Amino acid sequence: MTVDAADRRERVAGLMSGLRLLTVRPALILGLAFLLVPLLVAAVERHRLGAGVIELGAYQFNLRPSDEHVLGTDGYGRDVLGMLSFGLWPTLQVGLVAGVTASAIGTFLGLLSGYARGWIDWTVRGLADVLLGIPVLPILVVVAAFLGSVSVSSLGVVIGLVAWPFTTRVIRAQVLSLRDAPYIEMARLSGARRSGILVFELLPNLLPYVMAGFVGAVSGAILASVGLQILGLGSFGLPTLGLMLDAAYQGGALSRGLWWWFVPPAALLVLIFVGLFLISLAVDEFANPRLRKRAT
Amino acid sequence: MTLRYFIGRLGFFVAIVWATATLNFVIPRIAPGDPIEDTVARLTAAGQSTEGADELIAAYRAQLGLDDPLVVQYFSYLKAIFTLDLGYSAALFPVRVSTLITDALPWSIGLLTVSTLLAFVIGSLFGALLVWPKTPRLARLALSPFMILSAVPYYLLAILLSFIVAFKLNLLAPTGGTSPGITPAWSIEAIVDIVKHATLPALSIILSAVGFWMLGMRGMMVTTVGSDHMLLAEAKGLRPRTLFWRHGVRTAILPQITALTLALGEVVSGAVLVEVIFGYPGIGGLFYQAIRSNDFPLIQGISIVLAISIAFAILVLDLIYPLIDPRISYRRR
Repeated sequence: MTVDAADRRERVAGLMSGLRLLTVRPALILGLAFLLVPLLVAAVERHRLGAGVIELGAYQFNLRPSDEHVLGTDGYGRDVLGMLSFGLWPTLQVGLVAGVTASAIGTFLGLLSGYARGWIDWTVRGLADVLLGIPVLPILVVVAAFLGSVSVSSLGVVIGLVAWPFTTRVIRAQVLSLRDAPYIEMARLSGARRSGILVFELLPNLLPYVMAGFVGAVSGAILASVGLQILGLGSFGLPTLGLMLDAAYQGGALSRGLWWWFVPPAALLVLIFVGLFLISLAVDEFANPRLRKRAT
Repeated sequence: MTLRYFIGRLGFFVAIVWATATLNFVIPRIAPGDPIEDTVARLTAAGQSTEGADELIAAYRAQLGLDDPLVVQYFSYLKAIFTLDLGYSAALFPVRVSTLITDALPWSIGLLTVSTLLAFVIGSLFGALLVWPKTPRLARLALSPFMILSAVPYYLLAILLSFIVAFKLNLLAPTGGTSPGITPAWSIEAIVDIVKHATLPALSIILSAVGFWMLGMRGMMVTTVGSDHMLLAEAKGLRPRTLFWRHGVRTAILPQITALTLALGEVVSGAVLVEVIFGYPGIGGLFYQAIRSNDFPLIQGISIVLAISIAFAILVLDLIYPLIDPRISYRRR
């Protein structure tokens, strides 16, 4: 009874500190706003405009921004605001799929490697180090070039498959420092199974690190996927911000001064990256309390 | 211990080259369709270099040894990679992939070295100033936006800079490595022309990279400013300038080199995309051409060369680092 109460109190305190993080860290709020507000606006606009506005030749080509087309039309007669609204979600989706994949693999292998030690640790660490040493973009270019057109989610999975080592490294280091903590010893002595200790005792303490790895993977994946599209790879069949930039670049929008074709997607991408950066700053601070003091 | 560290780092380098080669061997084989027939079919469809097609197929068959068992193919592929035999370009058939890459490499190395060094110096200085107690508030405020810029990818800055500076203001050339009619040579005219063309690509990299180095330096400098040796130096009554440079910056800057080894892959990938935006004749520009013309051997060759060069640069930095930082000895990580 008393143990239960203490446990509950601890849980509530944990939850509260999580909530406090939201209220105390302006960077986190600003970062989330940078992602959520555009998503909300895009959802409303998608509904208002309908899919017809982004069909090829729906309107006249290269129309300047006006009352009818707030951001003008592109070189294929598509409404630019519509392209942004329909392209935002697939762009973020690549990042989310990659982030989930990388976090799942990275957390699993990190826990395994730190807790098991021995040859398993040696293998996982070697694999992670080698993979960290290989630049991601060139490998992705080869994959995308040979596989031809890749869907949004499979591109996300592929990026996730190469992005897990960051999470693994951090999680492994944390497990090594926690595995001999008294409360783990306690669980072990009371006969808890190894998997139980990993999931119920260690994992909750590692969540900030998992989150930090997740945010990093999301932003890395978006960076890489837009990069691939600028190189002319990864035709998804879906409108994405990267494909908009590629089309604008190919269509000579820069030299012809059609700024409304490429400035909006570029600005939206900047907003996404800065948003993710702010979120990662806040999460890093939470994961590494020593950073809190040194924030200037 | 020294020998052990050296062999360890070298072994790591070999492992990366091996892994890159293996990935490049596996990916085309798990991809649907026959890469060679595919390549030739695409080339024929595009109406490119069909006359060399038979020779091309023969060269490929020989190079890949497609009639051998998979294991034999794998080992001959590894041998080819380790001897840097990258085969022939598909789009420009009789030309070897290595020739194309060697022609492009100096452009990229020049651009990347200059811009990375500049960003490193400026960023580390800004980062140190950001933390230094005697820096005026206004200066700190003015420096902070660079940290936000570090989150913006190089290629987005490249697109915006290209549009504003090159197309709107007509200040610098938007594309290429030289003006038409000017060939790279050791003449004043050629050098000025090359620098002019490289300014915008370099600026795109520097603007974003400065923030990256600032963030790292800021973190290191905070620990340094609070450390005992700074207190002692201050108590000795040293001049503020000496305190800043010799006791602050010098202590804090060395770990930045470790940060470079970790970030190098992303820096190079970012620069590749900047080259694409500016039609720069380096590796990035070549990569773009290769992708647009479905030149699979060239795509793979560039991907392998990029991975190997980055791994090699990291190897060199790893080996030099203990020499310049006396706090670190050659020990296993």
